[in-house]
Amino acid sequence: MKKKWMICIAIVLVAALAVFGMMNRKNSPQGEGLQINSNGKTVTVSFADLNQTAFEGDLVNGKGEVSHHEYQGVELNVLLSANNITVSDDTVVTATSEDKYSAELSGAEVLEAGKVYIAVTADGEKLEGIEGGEGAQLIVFGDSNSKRAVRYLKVIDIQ
Amino acid sequence: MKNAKAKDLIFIALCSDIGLIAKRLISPFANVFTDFLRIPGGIGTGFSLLFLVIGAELVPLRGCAALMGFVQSMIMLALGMTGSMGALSPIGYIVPGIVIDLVFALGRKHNADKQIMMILANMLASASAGLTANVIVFNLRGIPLALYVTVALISGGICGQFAYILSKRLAPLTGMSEHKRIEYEEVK
Repeated sequence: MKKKWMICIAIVLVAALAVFGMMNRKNSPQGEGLQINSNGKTVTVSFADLNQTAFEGDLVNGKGEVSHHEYQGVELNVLLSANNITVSDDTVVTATSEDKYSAELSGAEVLEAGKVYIAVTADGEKLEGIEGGEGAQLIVFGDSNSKRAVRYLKVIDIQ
Repeated sequence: MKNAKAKDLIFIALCSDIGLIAKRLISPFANVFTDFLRIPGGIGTGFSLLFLVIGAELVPLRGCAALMGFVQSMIMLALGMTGSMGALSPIGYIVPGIVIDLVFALGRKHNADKQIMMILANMLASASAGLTANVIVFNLRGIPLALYVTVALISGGICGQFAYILSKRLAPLTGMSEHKRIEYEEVK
């Protein structure tokens, strides 16, 4: 009886894993590039187009250690402006990775010069996506930890 | 907890440490699966909690798993290895410990089968750890959250079975077998 129950639960869980796994992969943004969603419209920017400018700065990790990094990429505000997306102080910007990790930014932070960037290379090395290829990372200077340094960045939602 | 002997405390301290190290060891392997499923984790924690379940089984003191979770969180804070949870990381360690204690308390009260109790404790603790991490860090919703919890439940279940096998083998070595539980129940 006990064995039967355990097998039933295992089957249900494995079936749920298969169904949710397929749905999750299917719902993941497809194609190369960064997806920007604003006002019901979606713009896809190729990672190559994000390689616009060099920037550098200090980041603080979870242990409180400060490290200096050099990046290639684009300031988020510049990228949004180039795609005719306006951001105000009240806007909420959500950056989501390919593995659904997300971080929230306020419009005021995005508008602050030199604070929020999207990097495509870090310290001379190309950033990769979750399954290799090209990728990007959100860089937020001035944070007390690296919680918002979203790796495998894929979607930017503007609300 | 005042009935605890030095040997018990040393054993649960050891389980806490091994749990922490185990998580670090298995993370790269676990990431292969979680990256494929496009979720930010859910496997390593189940493996790490296996040692808390063993500790709670072999040292049947009330609040044992929560204490181990607290010890783990203090070690991580002291070493500055808080990960993305930052100063809130103790919550992520203590909540699964409380869940393990609750499952064991209920199971022992109703004389539940040891194997089922350990599997269930590991499963629910993994899911609670996942949900805590989700509230503090990940902010997953909908299907990704359902998948994340399912993965946590499955890995918790598998690790719970390992915990049962390991505890059976460790019980004679530690001298913390069935008679000790009876002794503990009598003291209580």
